[in-house]
Amino acid sequence: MFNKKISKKVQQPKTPALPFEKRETVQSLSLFFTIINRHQAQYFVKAYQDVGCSLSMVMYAHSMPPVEILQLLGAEETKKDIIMTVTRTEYIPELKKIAEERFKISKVSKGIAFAIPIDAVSGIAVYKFLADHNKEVRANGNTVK
Amino acid sequence: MEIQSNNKKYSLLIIIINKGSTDLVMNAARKAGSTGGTIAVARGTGNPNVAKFYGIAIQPEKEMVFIVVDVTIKDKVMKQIYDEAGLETVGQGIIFSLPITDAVGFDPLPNIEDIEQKLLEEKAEKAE
Repeated sequence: MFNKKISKKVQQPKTPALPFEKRETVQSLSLFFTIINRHQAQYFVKAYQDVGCSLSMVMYAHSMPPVEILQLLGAEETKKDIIMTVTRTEYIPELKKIAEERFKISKVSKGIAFAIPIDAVSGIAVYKFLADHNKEVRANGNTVK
Repeated sequence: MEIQSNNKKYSLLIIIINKGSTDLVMNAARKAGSTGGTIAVARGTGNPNVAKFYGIAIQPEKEMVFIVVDVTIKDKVMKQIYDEAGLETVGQGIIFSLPITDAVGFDPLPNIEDIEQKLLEEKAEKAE
């Protein structure tokens, strides 16, 4: 066992890998908030998914109404849903359109929506998931290795 | 016809505060000109060593208040909230703001007569 020849592995000179942002085109990301009445979230989540958003989180909340309503009706709280959607910035106009159209339907479906830019994400895999980086590859009918 | 949102610039204020102190925040925000806000329940996980060093007791039960304000009054609202619900008060609030790039739903629904008027004007322009 000890007489066994140990063959030295010839180490190949490593070429430094190019950083991801230089190899691939990086899409900017945004966090899209939608604040609507409780139980109205399902429509938005589905509609945003159809546009191509990878991740939507729904959070239960309640709202403090504007001063005018407060003065008229007293301290009234309403139950709300907050949807936080991480998406490519290029999808934001489409999401805005979806929200705007839905808000017009009735008083119950009224809400607000706004976008906040995302500076950085940790990890390439996370970025790829959030930005749906392989969307173009899938669209061409290829598979991702 | 497309109904455009106004061109105002907004900021999102996020206030993390001890549970039960949201009234402090909302009263302060209203004083400074803000209208409404949305509250969500959260749980704090601050560093206990840092808290011990500064003599702050960390309450795990927190509430997060989201307030969208016009950028022109943002500083005023933040200062008012800090004075009334900041770290030196019962609420021990932490306040920060984020820029909003796009916003929908802040305008009151448009008047139908105004829309009709605009349509008539557009038609007249096209006819010319």
